[in-house]
Amino acid sequence: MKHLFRILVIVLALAASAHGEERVYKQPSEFIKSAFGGKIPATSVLNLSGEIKARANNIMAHDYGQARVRHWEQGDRSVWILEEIGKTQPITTGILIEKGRIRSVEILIYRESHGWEVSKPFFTRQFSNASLRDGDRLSAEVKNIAGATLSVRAVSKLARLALYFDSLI
Amino acid sequence: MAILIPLTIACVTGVVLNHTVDLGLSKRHVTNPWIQTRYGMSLNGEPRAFGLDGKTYAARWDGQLFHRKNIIADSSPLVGAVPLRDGTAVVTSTAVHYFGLDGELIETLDESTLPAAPISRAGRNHDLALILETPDSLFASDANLLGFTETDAKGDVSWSIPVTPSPTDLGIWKTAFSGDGVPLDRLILDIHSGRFFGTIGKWIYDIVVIGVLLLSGTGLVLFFRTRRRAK
Repeated sequence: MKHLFRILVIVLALAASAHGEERVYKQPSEFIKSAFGGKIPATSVLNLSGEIKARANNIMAHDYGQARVRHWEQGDRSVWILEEIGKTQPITTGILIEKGRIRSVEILIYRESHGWEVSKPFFTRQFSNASLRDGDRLSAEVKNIAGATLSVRAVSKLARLALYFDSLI
Repeated sequence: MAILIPLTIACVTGVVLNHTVDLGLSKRHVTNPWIQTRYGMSLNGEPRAFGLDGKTYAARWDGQLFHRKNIIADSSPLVGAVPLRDGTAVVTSTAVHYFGLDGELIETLDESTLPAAPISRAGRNHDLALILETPDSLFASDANLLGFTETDAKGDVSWSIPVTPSPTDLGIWKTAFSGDGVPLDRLILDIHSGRFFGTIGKWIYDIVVIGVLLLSGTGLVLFFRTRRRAK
């Protein structure tokens, strides 16, 4: 009976992961708080239009969709909570930028069944200290993860986008 | 006769398809409702629209969520559509899609930016602030939907309710869903291959072609046999 119960638990756990259960690693508000010493600054808004929108669309390789982006800033720091679809679901990502360079990238909410490896520090620390080069490319080389290519691409695009947005504020 | 009709159709459409570029067939579209239905480009069932003060601002129809010409990617139940000072909030149980007065999407507020979920109702107060009702509380937005505060002014709220859309609204949503229609070259190609007439159409065309090949083959055999006899 005990054996059967263990098998049932394993099967249910596997089934849950196969169905792409949402993984909330950190609430966006917690990420913002941790960036600003425990307090969330007032929300700022960057409006996207004209050339800014065109460049954002170019970075994302599709219509960005929204006409404004929220962010939080204090001193030389800015925090962006951005989303991009990996394969079929959006990946909510927090990006902290200081003096034009990425301080940290964290996957806050992951909703797909595959590719969650991008939430691990071995992947996200590749973005540390990265800045934006000519052509809106990242100065850091981000290694792909086999089986998580789409998630890797999504997070990389968000990092570039956050750096671009940061350059405008 | 049974072979003649599909054969004629295949020949005529074949000639037309040979001149797709010259005739600009891919740039022309067919908007006939019956044809669009065959391509699954029509909306089934009845729309469930929401609005305020008798006007319609959003609808859920055949699984699609519409605001003006926009189709919103959100499968959650629609709970309200509220006109505000500088735009319209289309509210589902899990998100607020904020559109400007020009119909452009300004921002989608979701679990990371909403004060609570699920949302059961949406409305506005006398200041035209968006009001969201959740199981635990009532929240009022600021003018730009950047922040929400708890409020208890339930009596001051005009709630968005189900409304009957106008024929104009229905037309706008149908066009948004079906786009320009079926490209003419695609339609002609499907008629040419028999696919337009369904699975049985494909098989009928296959039989016709095999029949023509057999006729041609046996015709050649008879021709050479007759020639040999004549010699």
